[in-house]
Amino acid sequence: MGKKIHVSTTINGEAVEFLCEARQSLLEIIRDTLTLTGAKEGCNNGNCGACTVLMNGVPVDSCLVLAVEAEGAELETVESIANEEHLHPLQECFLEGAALQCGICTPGFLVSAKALLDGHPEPTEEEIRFELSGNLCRCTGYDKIVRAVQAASERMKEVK
Amino acid sequence: MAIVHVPPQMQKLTGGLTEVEAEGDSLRRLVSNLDTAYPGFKDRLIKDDLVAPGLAISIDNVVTSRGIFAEVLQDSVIHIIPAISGGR
Amino acid sequence: MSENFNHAQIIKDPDDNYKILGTRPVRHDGVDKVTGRAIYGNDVQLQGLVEGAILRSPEAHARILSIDTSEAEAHPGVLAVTTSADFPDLGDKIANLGEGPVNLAHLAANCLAKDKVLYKGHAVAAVAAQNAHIAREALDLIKVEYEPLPIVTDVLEAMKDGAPLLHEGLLTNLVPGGEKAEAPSNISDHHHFKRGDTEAAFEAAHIVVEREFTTQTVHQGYIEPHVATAHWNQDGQLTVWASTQGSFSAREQTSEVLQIPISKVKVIPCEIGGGFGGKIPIYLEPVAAVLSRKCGRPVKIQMTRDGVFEGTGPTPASFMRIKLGVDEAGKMTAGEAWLAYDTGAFPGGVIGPGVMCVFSCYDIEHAHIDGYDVCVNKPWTKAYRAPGSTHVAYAVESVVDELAEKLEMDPIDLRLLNAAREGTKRVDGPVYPRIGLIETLEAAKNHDHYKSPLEGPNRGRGVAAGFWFNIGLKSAATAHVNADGTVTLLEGSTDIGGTRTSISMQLAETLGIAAEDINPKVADTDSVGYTDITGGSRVTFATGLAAVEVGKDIISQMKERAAKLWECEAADVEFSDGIFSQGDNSISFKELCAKLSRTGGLITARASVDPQGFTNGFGVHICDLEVDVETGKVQILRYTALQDAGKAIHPSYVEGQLQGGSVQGIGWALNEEYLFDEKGHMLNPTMLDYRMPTALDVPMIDTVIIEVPNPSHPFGVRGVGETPIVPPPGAIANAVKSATGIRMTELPMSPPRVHSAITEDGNGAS
Repeated sequence: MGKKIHVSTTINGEAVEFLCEARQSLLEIIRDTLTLTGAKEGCNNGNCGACTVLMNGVPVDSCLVLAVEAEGAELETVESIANEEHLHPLQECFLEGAALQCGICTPGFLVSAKALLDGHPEPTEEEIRFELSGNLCRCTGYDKIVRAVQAASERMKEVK
Repeated sequence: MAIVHVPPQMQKLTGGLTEVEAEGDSLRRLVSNLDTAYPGFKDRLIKDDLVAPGLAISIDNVVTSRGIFAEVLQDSVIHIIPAISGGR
Repeated sequence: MSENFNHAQIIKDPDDNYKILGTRPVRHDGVDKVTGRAIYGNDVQLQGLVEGAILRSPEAHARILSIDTSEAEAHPGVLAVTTSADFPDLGDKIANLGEGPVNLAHLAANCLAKDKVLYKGHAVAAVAAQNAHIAREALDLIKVEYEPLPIVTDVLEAMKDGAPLLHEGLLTNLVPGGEKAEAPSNISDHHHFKRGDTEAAFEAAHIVVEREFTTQTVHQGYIEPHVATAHWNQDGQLTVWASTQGSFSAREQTSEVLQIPISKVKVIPCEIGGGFGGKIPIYLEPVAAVLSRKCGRPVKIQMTRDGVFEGTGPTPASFMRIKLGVDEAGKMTAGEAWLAYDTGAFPGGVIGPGVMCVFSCYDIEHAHIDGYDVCVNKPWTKAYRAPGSTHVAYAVESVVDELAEKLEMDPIDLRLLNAAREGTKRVDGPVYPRIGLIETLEAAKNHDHYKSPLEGPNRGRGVAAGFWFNIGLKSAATAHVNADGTVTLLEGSTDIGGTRTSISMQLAETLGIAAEDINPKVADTDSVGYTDITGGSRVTFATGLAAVEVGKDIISQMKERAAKLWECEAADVEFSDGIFSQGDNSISFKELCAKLSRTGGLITARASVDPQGFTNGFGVHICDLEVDVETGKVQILRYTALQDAGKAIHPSYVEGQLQGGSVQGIGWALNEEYLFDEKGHMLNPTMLDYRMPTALDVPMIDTVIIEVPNPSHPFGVRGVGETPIVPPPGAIANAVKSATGIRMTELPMSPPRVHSAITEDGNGAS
């Protein structure tokens, strides 16, 4: 097992330090050590996307990232999408458009969709479907998720 | 008299009759009367005062969850069908 | 608002003038679920919590000769190890657990194997340790000696004389109401229905089509793995934090397997990450409980994803033979079905609903149905959304399509001619009440999708109908009326898809207040009255009914308070649209709430219901697709799901059920299957290789809600959740036929299967 390793990182804008074993995934540390349980474990092998977080602005399956790789990184989780007072337009549109049923995949979809809209504010339906194809949802059939992302894109344009 | 439709797997008991008539204002009384006419009927349908596992009783096209206490009317029509098993 | 969330077309009942029902409020638990704050099963954090892991059998069928856990117990960081030896012996006790009879010995032996393992992945032992990594290390140190036995995984092979027997003493139940067969076999149940004279009717028929179909094992595929946390306190009180479709059912199952009183078990339902029927049975709860008792600390076990695929209950593989006869006009005169479903390792599958659903869409005078549940060396199958109905709909709707072709008739017209309606007698006997299949078929026929042309090579259109029951079962609710005019609602139905809101809306409608003024809570088993599972498309129907009854109780109590204010008789107080009135006096619900504490205290109301009888939901789907003849890949181009939904309480969630069910059905039709090697090992227990649809695989799913009110609910609610998975495989198979001329009689219609069918057809025909 060996000695624990010290890691310094930034998560949701806050500098944090943690100790981890070499074999621990970033997902485990985020959930169990940092108690940010918004990221979910659906498969632990990178297929479902429920654990998606942003690492230096790029969406990653945090179950496939070793915690030690977070050294010096900027991490963002679903917990950082809303600000103190308001939900993000994506979150509003997911709620108004009923884009979640059980909700277990929702954090991963929100993080992936935010990365998409941050880099590409007006995606086509095809682009949305492609960019979100790493996130599995078993409840909605994706229709309302895609529409919520489209609606959020519109709403963000209006705000600007 | 209520009419009881006898499913194929039970028709041995009724000598091949697909439909039988019986008296009784509750399922318990009805089945007990049927058992007198067709011995063995009760054993097949009722276990420990409940409708036997795997079975459901439809009274006037409504599957009852009241078991042997279900009300039976003079002209009720009764079907014996499989229970919808195992949840969904 | 600029957004177009593209709501469904709703064909309303003309008498409908509700205020709250039919609107689309944001769900009450919504903000927690989009901010990551909602607590799901694996998010439970407790003082001293340790983690568990399950050892699974590498053999598909073997006798367990010995289990040596000593090395695992000595491993640093390990706190407890358990096997079935720590569990009570249950003999052959059958318990009625709310949603149906369960053989407790089988339930327990599926949680941890007793003397035999019956499938690869069967749980054998479990470890609790400081963390999951150590627990998994310790699993490798448990020594299990197996004596391998011959295996059988195919349903028809398992029915043959001389097949390896999974349960030596298993005697077939002859259902309904028959005795047991005399000789043991793998066949656990034989269902048989017969009406009229099928032989003569087939003889006299104008056209007869007979086809054989097979389907493979598929999984519910919820994204959240099974997870349970248990704490066995020193006072003997067991608390379980569960991800379950029914907290009361989980409590009953756990108490029966452990043989402790239900009063000693409290189940706290967490948010649940999908179920679709798969989270009704328990797997982990009693195991975590025994580990907790042994180590004195709360123990959490979350299954691995391969554990979910290999160790929990998927839905059966099947073999089906369907024969239908029609007269010159296309009227169906005779039907015959021979169905064999595998139940997996233990008896008790879903053939019952299979035989009841097979001809449920049609009025057929002469019919003969045989159905078999058969044990094989695969995981114990469980319910999956309209269990047993999708299989038979795929087969029957394919045959109906072929009949339409031979009759040169429009496939919807043929279905309309034969559709079940009010008064139609089902083959199993009961007669339909008011149902909406005709209306749904007519809506499909008049839909823009069906009327628009489909052009281009290798493209085809298919339609199919589907049927499922809604069960009633028991629900309870309690409400507290607050001084500010809001109502706190406690209910016991775990919320998988917005039912807190669909239930609250029914209470709000009853009270004439806003949905947002209801504050719903899903309570634990100590805090609310007995409530059956979330399943059977029952929650909005039955728990909704409990909420309506609670509302009536609140109104009648508040009338008494208004009568006090006005010094009149409560019987003279009227209530309508949220206003209490008597003569010239009137007061709103909210205003009266503010006066409650001075007129006798705040109000609590409660209701417990057990609605009798089930209703029925019918769906019709239209699918356009294109087949890539080079690869066999099928691309869905356009898809429309229409359903008789009764009153749509929250239309967005009804649409969501139609869309989600359709896409699960599309996955079942096109890609999903368990692949096994000759040793009975599943070859694809990952979400990469068990290929569920992604966002890129499907188009938008158009929906049409047809509101034919259910006569046995005050608002006309029908359950809608399950029916949408039923039509897709049939609709897709019919569309593939129209695109390629080839009738696919095996699911899934995956690229290799479609490609080889095209190749064989090309070789044979030309």
